[in-house]
Amino acid sequence: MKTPLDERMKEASLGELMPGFDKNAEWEALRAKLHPAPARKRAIWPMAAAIALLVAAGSMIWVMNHDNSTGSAVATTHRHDTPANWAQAGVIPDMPQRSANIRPEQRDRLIVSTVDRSTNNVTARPADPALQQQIQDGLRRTGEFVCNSTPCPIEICVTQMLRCSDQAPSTVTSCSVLDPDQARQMRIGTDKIVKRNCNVTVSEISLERVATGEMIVLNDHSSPSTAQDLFNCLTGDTKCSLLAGIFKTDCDNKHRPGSLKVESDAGNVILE
Amino acid sequence: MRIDLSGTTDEAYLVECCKRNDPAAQHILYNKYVEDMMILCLRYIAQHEDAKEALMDGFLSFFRGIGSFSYRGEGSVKAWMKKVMVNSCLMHLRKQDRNTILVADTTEYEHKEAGDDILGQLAAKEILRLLHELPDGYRMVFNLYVFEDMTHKDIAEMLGISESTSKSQLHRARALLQKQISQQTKSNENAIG
Repeated sequence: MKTPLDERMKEASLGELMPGFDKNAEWEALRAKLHPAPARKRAIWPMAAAIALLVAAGSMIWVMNHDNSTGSAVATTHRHDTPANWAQAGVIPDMPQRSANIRPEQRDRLIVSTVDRSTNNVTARPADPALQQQIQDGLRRTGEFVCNSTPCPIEICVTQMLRCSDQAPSTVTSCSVLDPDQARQMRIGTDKIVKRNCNVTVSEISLERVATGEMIVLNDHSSPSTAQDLFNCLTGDTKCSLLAGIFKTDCDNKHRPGSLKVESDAGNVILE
Repeated sequence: MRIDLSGTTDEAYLVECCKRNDPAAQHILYNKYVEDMMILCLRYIAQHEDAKEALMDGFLSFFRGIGSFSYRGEGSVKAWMKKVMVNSCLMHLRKQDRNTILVADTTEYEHKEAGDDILGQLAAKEILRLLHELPDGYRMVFNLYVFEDMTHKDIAEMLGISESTSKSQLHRARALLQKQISQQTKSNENAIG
């Protein structure tokens, strides 16, 4: 039932009763509550993009660090301390990427680090410049060609411990990547400084399947072959036929046997 | 394909679009009823900001609950929207915790609307001012009975009070309004005299 009061209120205009009411602004507020998704998308997308960028950057950094460390667990932080003139001497200290298009020499690297006398641990200090010069002067290559007859690239890193009478102990790590069916002389550290009152021992040799990152590490205690056995074989000092180790990962999805043998009886050193 | 709904007045179609959460249809219904609903809220809630909040909550409830609404011809959308809006205003008043006490009264009151007739001769703004001067409890019952055309039984159920309490609240509200009007008339006469 309509009353005069009811009619009067129905005839009233909002502009008269509430002059400041902005119905468009109220609608916008209401719409934002009714349809919050687009607004959230605008807020979330830049955030998602930023997170993706951070993850990508983090992954790249991790991969780069991993890449740098797999070859030689001893002194990855010192590669940038390597003098630039090593490159002129044929030693490229850094290996920015591993690609078949890069010349073999560019895939070699040399790392020199000092060792803490008390703990025998590699330190963050760069090696003495004089020693670095001596190492540079004493660089040597394998006497024989080393051939990779496995289906996948292999990086061989030889770590030597140098104990010179007048200097802090140091490690010298030289790494070379051999592609499948590639044969070349490897950089294998130094021995000339032995003549300069330094005792040089092979402390570790690592053989890494580049594609998978899996690594066989030989040292004084490894079996069936020690690092020194393999070193003597690689340098050609002794003829050898030894089992370096067994890879568990499959690098080319062809499920070949994972054992890595080193043979030099026939002349050149063959990884198979 | 996007359909231009701006000229559409077919509420049945708009309701169907709103059920699909179409913002254009929602906007049309909002524009059509927002002023009436705002005035409704102002009858219940004196503070403008509070009234706007109740309006916003009411529209949200309306559009979010429209899936359960069945269109039953002309006027059914507005009737349903008013119900939702009244509920929103009452909820808002309850939240404000103004110690609204609806006192029961056993006195039988005659059903008379003479006071309403006098009130109906005032301007809307004046009516609103007088309504805002009423205590919340009186105002709620007065609004529900006079403007929403509800029975005391329905009001009693809605507010959780007895029918007699609803009647007494309405009687007191009317008495208070008449008193205010007569006081105002006297003061106007004094001013003229």
